[in-house]
Order: sequence, then structure tokens, then C-alpha cells
Amino acid sequence: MTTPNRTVNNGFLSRSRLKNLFGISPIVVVLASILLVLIMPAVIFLFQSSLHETQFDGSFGAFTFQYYVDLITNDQFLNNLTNATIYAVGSAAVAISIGVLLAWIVERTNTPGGSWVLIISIISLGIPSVLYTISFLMLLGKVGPVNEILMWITGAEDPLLDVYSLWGMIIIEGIEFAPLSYLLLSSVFRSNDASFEEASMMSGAGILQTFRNITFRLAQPAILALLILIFIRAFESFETPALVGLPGNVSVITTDIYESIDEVPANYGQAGAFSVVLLFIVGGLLIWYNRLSRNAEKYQTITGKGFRPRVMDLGKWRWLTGAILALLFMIIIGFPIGIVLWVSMVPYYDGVSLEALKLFTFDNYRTVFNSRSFHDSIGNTVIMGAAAASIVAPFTALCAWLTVRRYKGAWILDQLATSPLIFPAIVMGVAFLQVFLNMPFGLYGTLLSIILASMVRYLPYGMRYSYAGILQIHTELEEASSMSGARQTTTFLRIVMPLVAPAMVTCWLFVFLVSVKAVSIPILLAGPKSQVVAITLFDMWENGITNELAAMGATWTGFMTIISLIFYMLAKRYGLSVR
Amino acid sequence: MLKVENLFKQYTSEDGTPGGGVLGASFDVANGELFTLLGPSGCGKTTTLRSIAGLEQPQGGLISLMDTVLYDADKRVNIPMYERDIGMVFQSYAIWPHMNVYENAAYPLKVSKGKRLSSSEMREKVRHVLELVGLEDYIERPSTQLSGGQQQRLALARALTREPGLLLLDEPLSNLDAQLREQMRSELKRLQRETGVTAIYVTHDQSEALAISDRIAVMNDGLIMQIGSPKDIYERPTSEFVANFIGTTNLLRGALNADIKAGNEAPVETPLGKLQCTFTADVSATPTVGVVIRPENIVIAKIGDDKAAALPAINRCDGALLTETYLGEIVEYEVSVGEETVLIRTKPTESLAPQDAVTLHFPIPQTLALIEKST
Repeated sequence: MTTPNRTVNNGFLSRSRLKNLFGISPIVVVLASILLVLIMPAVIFLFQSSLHETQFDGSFGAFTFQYYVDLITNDQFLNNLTNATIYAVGSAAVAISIGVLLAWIVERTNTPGGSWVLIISIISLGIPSVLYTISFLMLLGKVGPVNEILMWITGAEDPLLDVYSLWGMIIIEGIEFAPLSYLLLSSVFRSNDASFEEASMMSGAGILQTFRNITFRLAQPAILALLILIFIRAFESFETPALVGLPGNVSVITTDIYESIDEVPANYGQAGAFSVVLLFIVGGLLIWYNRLSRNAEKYQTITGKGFRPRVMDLGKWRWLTGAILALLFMIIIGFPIGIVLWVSMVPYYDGVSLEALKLFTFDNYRTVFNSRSFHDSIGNTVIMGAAAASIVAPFTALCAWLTVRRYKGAWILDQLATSPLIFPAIVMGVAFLQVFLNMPFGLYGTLLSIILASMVRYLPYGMRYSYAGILQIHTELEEASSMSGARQTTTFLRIVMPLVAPAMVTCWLFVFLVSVKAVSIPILLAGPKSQVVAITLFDMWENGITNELAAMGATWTGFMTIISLIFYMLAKRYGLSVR
Repeated sequence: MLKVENLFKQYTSEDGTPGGGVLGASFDVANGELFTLLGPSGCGKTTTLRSIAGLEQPQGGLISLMDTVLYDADKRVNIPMYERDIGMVFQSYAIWPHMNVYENAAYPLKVSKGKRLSSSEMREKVRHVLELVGLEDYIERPSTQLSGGQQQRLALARALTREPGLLLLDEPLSNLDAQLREQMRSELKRLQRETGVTAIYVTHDQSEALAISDRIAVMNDGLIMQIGSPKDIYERPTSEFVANFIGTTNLLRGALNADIKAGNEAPVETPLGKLQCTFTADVSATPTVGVVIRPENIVIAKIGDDKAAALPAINRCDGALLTETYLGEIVEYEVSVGEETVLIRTKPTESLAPQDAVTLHFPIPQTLALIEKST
């Protein structure tokens, strides 16, 4: 945008009978009010619940600091905080090591097969986190093929690896975040001018020296920012700690929150206190992250006119990097998907072996397809995802348009719509749980409650896509409409909407995909009649119904991968950054 | 010093058809010379340069620098770029933003093989080269705070710190604005003279090439059309392409009845009548020989003037003045002669006006007969 938003006459509705409020367009006031109504009760009830005793009917009792005192005086809390930190640092380190390697090989070298890596991103956006974690438990568990191979190599009698441990959590979470890390780093590596590296080679430096001194150093600020981002994501993650950590007696803050609510009777005050602490930690980290990520772009601004997207010729070494690429591809996607398919085809899971091949059957799929609860949970999930996405996409499009065009006061819409970012999903779940428990009408346990919470949780994601989409529309396109005599409302409907439609569709798909993937919100809010796929998978694993879980997971992942593929094609077609 | 023989590197476009590249270029560069590869975009000049640097692997030919063979297709020799004794200035400068001025310039000394310098020696050397380019006051400055011209100087300093046997410059001035470009152009030339480094300079800007070079190789479609001093290239082009690419020229089509050797004169039948031409290359008898003459070499006079009477009778034709364009130090005239329009440039001393009947004279040494292409 060369001419960013000259004075815009705040037309939209402003000339209507509604009088301007301090010159702020009424539409901005209306939208801001909606956002406040959605977000504020959750924040207020979260803090209230941590400071009041909860009575049997869910309403608040006497004021107390007891829950915070309990936290501080409990050794377990410090221990779990340490666990969470080690887990988050480890996951970030694993994810970034893989990400740097992948991004460098694909973007900066002439290694064959680089385009296949896109498949990693597509599938990883489609697969539910629960299923992904479970697939690694199947691979690394006691009867899993990895332990089998290790026992065969070393001749040991017993499994060597115990995946239900802190390092198991780190490996699994690290690999799960590798695609994100790759995606963000590849844009960093791609935007660097190849002549930076060529200049180093011409100075007499070899390939490794050049990678260390130039490529890596240029990406360093971005890598540091990414480290914080993944740290935050892992710190607030729930799936892996719940499925891997809890059975191995490794607790982190998010599982503490879950357990406080899961116990009978639920300790809402304790969950609230945990949540508030987590909220502050994540909030602080996000501020730091924002500062770093602004810093991360400082090296990307100076590239001359002679920009050439050249890659480095590795010669014979490219076959080695090709092999590394293939191995990473198998670890991130091939093996996890493979084991899920395998388990879905056998009557019982007892490791991967030739004998088991004879037992191959479609019975699990048959059972799942005929199961009523499977149909219900798929139906619920699709309704939940579609509803959340259908509200978020147009709503954020309007907010983003008002913000980008600098409508007076519109910045507050941007701030409000992105504020849920500081809520870890599990904290959002606790906060909305409190809201629904204290509502006079019975929302608790309904699908609508999950939709509302998911919607608020994924508002920031929608905002990011809508914002990027609106930025691409040049102001003059709208000015031309105004000069043709169209009112602001007409311009928005006839010009802005059609132009922003592709961005909205991608935004819709993205919100749909991320909201059906996650388990943290529905696990706290879902009732018997509002089960969703992620929760069904989670319960099936807890109850040991492994094979049917695999069949259901494989089917669902298939559907979601198709949607994810459509999302990627649209995002690429319309030049929206895919994150 | 540098020897390039039959260098061949052809790109294949995505649909499999052969694309641009170098299709057999040979030239020698003498010690201390500033040699320019000049040509339109896609002519293969950058590919040639990058092949010498080692950033591109040729498919055929030989490249040697002093006594070292850098690339030999037949003997399968290909020295990696970082072992070549070559410094390079990139079009985008490629100044590393995460290092300051000193670190950028010192980098080649730190990473290249060969004798290790003590830190004081290194500091001394870097300081010296930064002084050379006039950046001695900016040693500790972050490189992101440099202007375009300063980045350019730093890129040059970095390429020189290692005291390479050969300096490659890839369109180094194309990112600068016009005024700065002229200033840097003369500075580049001065620096090259002072350091005595042999340099290869790639550009598509003919005036830059004429101003800076000791010798120029004009390239087109992957082939070298002509190698010569700027004066040679401008005044004695051996092909229509070179005559057209460098400066402005009048081109006529004519018929030649005999085979003529380079250096001789012979008459050519043109739309302006028979013109006695000088031959800069061998031309066989053809109905479509090109006759070129630069606008500033044509003599123009008003019919009836004393000046017109004094003109030689040979290579004369009469026409009508169409337009006069006053450009300050020169005046441009367009004169119609029969079907043709001839462009003439003179000092603004003539008193001519449109519609005037004028006579033109084409001096024989500057009236050149050329074939379309020559290699």
C-alpha cells in the first residue's frame, strides 16, 4: 500500500439517524460492544472463580485467597511448573532443529523432492492433535515397532524406551510442531537474497561455513522469535501432556487445570487460580514474542533490485540431503499415518509383524461406520466447526476492513479481536465453563457453548487472514466506487465483499480446521449430547478401544486432509500467507 | 591472465526447449585490464561472469586464471568457487545485514584458506581497503545504516580485501541513481587503476561500458559479436548488431556486387544512390548489405551555401529538412531523401529551418558496410 488510507470520511452508517459518538462510527461501536460481550464475561468469571469459593450449584460463595495460597505452598506446583518449562523448551528445540533442517534443504539447496514437503503441512493441518499424539504412542509404546527394533538390535528382553515420560512428551510435541516451524522458517529462508550466500562463497567460505556464518545468522532473529512462539504453544498445550504425561505421572499446568475440574467434586477455584497464573505467564511471553518478531524482520528488508531466488548446488551431497528429507518426511507423516492405518486394519494391536498381516480386516471400519455415536460426533463436529467459522470469517472481515481503512476507533476492534490470543485453549475452556455455569439459562453441555468458546478462541486467527486479505485491496478500488456515486454500504457490499471473498473462504476453512482439531475446549464444555470427534477419540484411547479409534481417526483425517488441501490451494492461489 | 575458451552453458526452459546462456564464448583478459562484457539482457554476459566465478557450472569449454585451470570440461576439472582466487561485487551488493562494516570487509580474510593473519594484520589490511573506498570513518557502523552508495563501496572493499587475482563486477552500478552512478563510475575506474587488479565488468549500459573499459566484448544471443577498445567498438563496428547497440546510427540496406576484404573501400548501391563505403569485416557479394553511418559524421549544408559548394562530389545526396530538434550542445535534424529519413547531429551553428533544401555528404572512412552478424 503506497498511499495508506488518506482521510476516510467515516461514512458507513454515519450519515444515518444514529448520531456519532465522539465521531466514532456507530458500526465500530456496535462491533466493539459485541466483542466486549463475548470476551469480558469470560475474563471476569475466570478471575472471580479463582477468588471465591464455589457453591454446589456452581454460583460463587465467600471471597478467598485460599486457592492462590494453595498454589504457592504446594511443592507440586513448582515441580509442575518446572516440568512445563523443560517440556516447552525441549519441544521448541526439537521442532526448530527439524524445521531449520527442512527449510534449509527445501529452500536453499537443489535437493530433489523438496516439493513433497508441502504434503507434511497439508496433512498436519488436517489430523486431530489427539490422533497424532496417539499415533506416536502406538509407534513408541511398549509393543510398538520402535521398541521391537531396539530390542532386536540390542538383544534386550524388555522394551528399552518408556514413552510415558518427559522426554516422550518432548519428542512427540516437538515433532508435532515441526511443520509449523518449517513453514515459518521456509518463508524466512526464501526471502533471503541468494547473493548473500554467493558473496560468502566468493570470499572463500565453504558450504558449511556459509550456512553457519550467513544463512543461519541471517535467520537467527526469526529462529529466536519462533523459539518463543513454540515455547508458548507447548507450554499451553493440553493433548500431549494429558495423553503422554498423565499416565507417566508427569504433570504440567494445563493437566493440573484439567484434573482440578475432572475430580469429584470439581475444584473450580483451584482450576481458576491455575488458569490465571497460566494466563499471566503466556501473556508475558507473548509481549516478548511480539517484540522479538518485529526484530525478526529487520534483516529481511534490505535486498537489492537484482534479487535472484537461486539455490545452492550441493553436487553429490544433494543425495544425502535428499535422504534426510525422506527420513524426516517419514517421521513427521509417514510413520504416524502408517501406524494408524495398520492399527485400524487389525483386530487387536500387538505390534507390527508379518503374522498380523493375515489378520487384516475392515471390521473396525464397519463397526465405526455403523455406530450411532460416531455419526453423532461427526455431525456435531462439522456443525461446531462450520458455525464457528461462519461467524468468525465475515465478522473479522468487517473488523479488518474498518481497521485497515482507519475508521475512527477501529483500532480497538483489532485489539479486542486479537486479545483472545493470550488465552491458552484450556484456560478459555475454564473461563467459559464458569460463564455457562453462572448463566440463568442452561447453556452448559450444549453444542452452542462449544461453538461460542471456539469462536472467541479462534477470532485472532480469523482476524489475521481477513487483515491480510483486506490489505491486498487497493483503496482506489473503493474510491472509484464512491466516485461512481455508491454509498459506503453499497461499496462494502458490491466492491469489498467480492474482492475479499477468497480471503474469507480461506479464513473460513482455516478456522474450521483448527477448531475441529483441538480437544482442550470441548473436553471441558461438552456434555453427553455434544460429543465431538476429538473428544470421542480421546475417550476411546482412555478406554482402550484402540482399533476402532484408529479406524475412526483415519476416516476423519482423510476428510480433513481434503479440506486442508482445498485450503492450501486457495491460500496459494490468492497469495495469503499460510500459517 | 584470464583465458576463456569455447565457454558453453545453455539453460533449458521449463517446456524443454533450449533457452538462453553462453553458446561458445572465447576471450583473453590481460593483466591489469578492465574488461567489459556488454550486451542486452539475456545475451549470456551474466552467465559468463558467473561461470568464471564458479557460481554456475558450464557444460563445455575451458576457463583458466594465470596458471590455474579453473574449469575444463574435457579433463573434468571444476575448482569450487571458494577455492578460486576471485573477488566479486554483486548487483544487489549482498552486504550482510547482521555484520557491521568491518566484519563484512574482514570476512574473506577470516574464512578463506591460505595463511592466517594475526588480528592486528587483519585489522590493518581491512582498514587500508576501507580507506581505499572512503569508508574509513564508518568501520564500526552497522551495515544496515549505509546508503546505497556506501553499500556499493563496501561491497567493493569486501571483494578487494583478499587481494584477489581477478575482480568480477556484476552490474554494480545499476542500483544507484543517475548522479551517483556517474560518480561511482569514475571512482571504480580510479580504484581499479590504483590497485592494478584485473577486472571483468558486466553491464547492459553502453555509455557506462564506453566510459570505464579498456576493452569491451559485445555479446548477443550467447555469442561474442566483437571485442575491441571503446573507440574501436564505437567507430569501427564489424556488424550491424554492434553498430545498432552502441550509440545511435543510420542504417541503410544496399546491394554489393563483389566480395570485399576488411580494410578496403568499395561502392554499395543504396536507396540514397551509390555510396563509397569502408569495410571493417570481410563481406561477400549480397543484395542486402547494411550500410551504417553515425548521425554526427554526416555533413549537412543548405543548397546554395558556400559550405554546400565546398563539399566533395562523392557520397552526396540532396533532400528536404523535415524537423529540427534543439538539444543544447547539439542539434538533431531529420532529412528526407527519397523514401528514406536520415538523422544528422551537428553543433548548433548551422542556420537551417524545416522545408529547406539541403545536401548531405557521407565521409568515406565513417560510412561502413556491414553484414548483419559476425562472430
